[in-house]
Amino acid sequence: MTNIIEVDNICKNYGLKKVLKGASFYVKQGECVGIVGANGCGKSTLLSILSGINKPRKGTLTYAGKNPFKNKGMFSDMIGYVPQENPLMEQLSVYDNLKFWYCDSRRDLKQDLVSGTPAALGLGEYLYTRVDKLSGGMKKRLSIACALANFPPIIIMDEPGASLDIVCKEDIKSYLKKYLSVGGTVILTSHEECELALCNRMYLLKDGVMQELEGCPNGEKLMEYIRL
Amino acid sequence: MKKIKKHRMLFALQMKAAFMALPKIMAGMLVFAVLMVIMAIALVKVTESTDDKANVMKVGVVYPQSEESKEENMYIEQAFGMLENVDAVKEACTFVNYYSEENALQDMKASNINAVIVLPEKFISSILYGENTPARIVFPSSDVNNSSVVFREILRSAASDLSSAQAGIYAVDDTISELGGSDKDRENANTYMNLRYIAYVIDREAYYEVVDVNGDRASSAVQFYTATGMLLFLLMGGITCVELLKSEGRVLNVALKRFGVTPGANHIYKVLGVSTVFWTVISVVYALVSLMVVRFPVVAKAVTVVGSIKETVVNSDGSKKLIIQYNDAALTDVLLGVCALAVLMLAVFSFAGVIFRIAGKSVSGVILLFLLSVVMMFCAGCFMPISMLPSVVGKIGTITPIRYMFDMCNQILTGSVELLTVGINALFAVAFMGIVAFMENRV
Repeated sequence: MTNIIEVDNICKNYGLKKVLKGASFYVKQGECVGIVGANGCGKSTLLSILSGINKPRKGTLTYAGKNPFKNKGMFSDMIGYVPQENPLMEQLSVYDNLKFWYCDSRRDLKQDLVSGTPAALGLGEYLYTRVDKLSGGMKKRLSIACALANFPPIIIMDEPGASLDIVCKEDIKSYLKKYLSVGGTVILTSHEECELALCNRMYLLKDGVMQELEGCPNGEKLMEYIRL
Repeated sequence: MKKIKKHRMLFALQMKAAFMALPKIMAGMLVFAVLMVIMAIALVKVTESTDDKANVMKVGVVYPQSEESKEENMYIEQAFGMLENVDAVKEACTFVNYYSEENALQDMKASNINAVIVLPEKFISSILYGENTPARIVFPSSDVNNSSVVFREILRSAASDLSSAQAGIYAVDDTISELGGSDKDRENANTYMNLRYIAYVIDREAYYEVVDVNGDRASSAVQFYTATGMLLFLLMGGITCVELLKSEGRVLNVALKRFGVTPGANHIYKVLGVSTVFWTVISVVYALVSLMVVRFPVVAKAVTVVGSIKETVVNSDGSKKLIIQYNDAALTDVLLGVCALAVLMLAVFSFAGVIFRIAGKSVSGVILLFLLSVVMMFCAGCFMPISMLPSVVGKIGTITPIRYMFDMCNQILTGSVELLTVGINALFAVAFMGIVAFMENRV
């Protein structure tokens, strides 16, 4: 399979603090890649660069061989980004939030409410509930549905299961399995083994550089990698 | 094209969010309106009671007690009774009858009355026959206030009237004597002249037709405080919209930016949404009130937009007649007022938006908006006219946006909207929205 994402020698500073010092990695289409690392190691910064929110100081990033920083609209067309906090309009209903993200989508919201992402994530029952009245789990589901309104080929998730209950985590996991089964590519950061179990490959971000981990370690072995 | 679609959808959704919040906004405003009405009523009551105590003097009138004077006392009582009904006197003093000077002076010492008029024996006869035995007027040595000064002036004016009238009566008497008229003629002339004199000097209103003209487009005290109430109402209305106007937060702003929608534009849509909701509601109320002005003249005290010029004519027989003349420019004034309201809403809610953006959190935003509004309103002369404030406060007031919002309220209520004021408010609205848009776009 071809590399859908290639990251080469990416550097990023916050003032004098060097967060990324030449991170390089690749992702093949249809893969689920996990990025692990200690708190504050720069995982979220890396994901924000991958989703086009931040620009790297140095290094290159290509999606399907093209530089997204030079191709307008490539980030929004190719990447569905689910940050740690939910980018939702709290004073609007679930339906209105979906309507906004679907308004320029190739997909039909009404159809998707029956058989698409929102339906799969169980949002049907809450369509007319205001977002600020939803539980954390439902908000996360809605965030994912909004991020996938365009049905982009890549989804980037920053700790999707943080502070969610087991049922919600399991629902999101099973949705990601479906997404992968239709050729979608997933990059996620997580501290939760159950989420990382989805990954085909894993990278450890440490001291600003990426290191591919052999197999997909878990438990003590993963802890050892992070501590070392 | 995609961007335009997103912008259009976001604008429509922010409008929808504002209208969906209408019940909540109205409930909040209703609570606030009730509080304001209670405060206004309490204030009026306090003012009225203070006025009663401070401004209306109680004057003791000591009647002579000799047998000869007792017959005259009836006429003096009638005279004071009539005097008490004269508008100028009624607002300044009331009379209390005494038949002992000692009692009256004791009451004055105890501050139960503010002055004492001691009438001499045969007071009326002495006036009629030119002896002019003066009445003694006793004031306490302290406790001189505006009312006592007014009362002295009333007495001075009455004495002047009396002496002029006496001069006229004596001149007639002398003329009849010179022309060889009999004693009977003189007596008849004197009686006739005295009667005319008493009739004219006491019932002075017979000479005048009192005309109150309302609608000269100047702001009355009631309109001034109605404008204050309106502005306070709108600013506090901002509090009910804190959830709608506050910043969306970095995460959503970043997400919007990724799809080509600047967070600043989102803020502008929010302000437009909230302003539209308030504008719709207040325009309806404004139009209704304007119609009520014609039907219920009491409303005209606060609002004179449907510029009927109301005239209350008090006829010589005391009856009152209400005349309403319609102003040709009334409809134009209402339409201008409605447009000016739109600009005012934008100015007020963009101002609230800046405060909420600076404060960050909802609670601190609400507190900051409340405090700043009250302080700025004070400096802008919304609670007391600027001329009554220290000059420094007045100068600060001129640089606050509230000052111009207040001017706008006043002009809308009096139907005298000026384009300059509309322009200044529009500039403030643009500046405030621009500031927040700039801050939001910096994510």
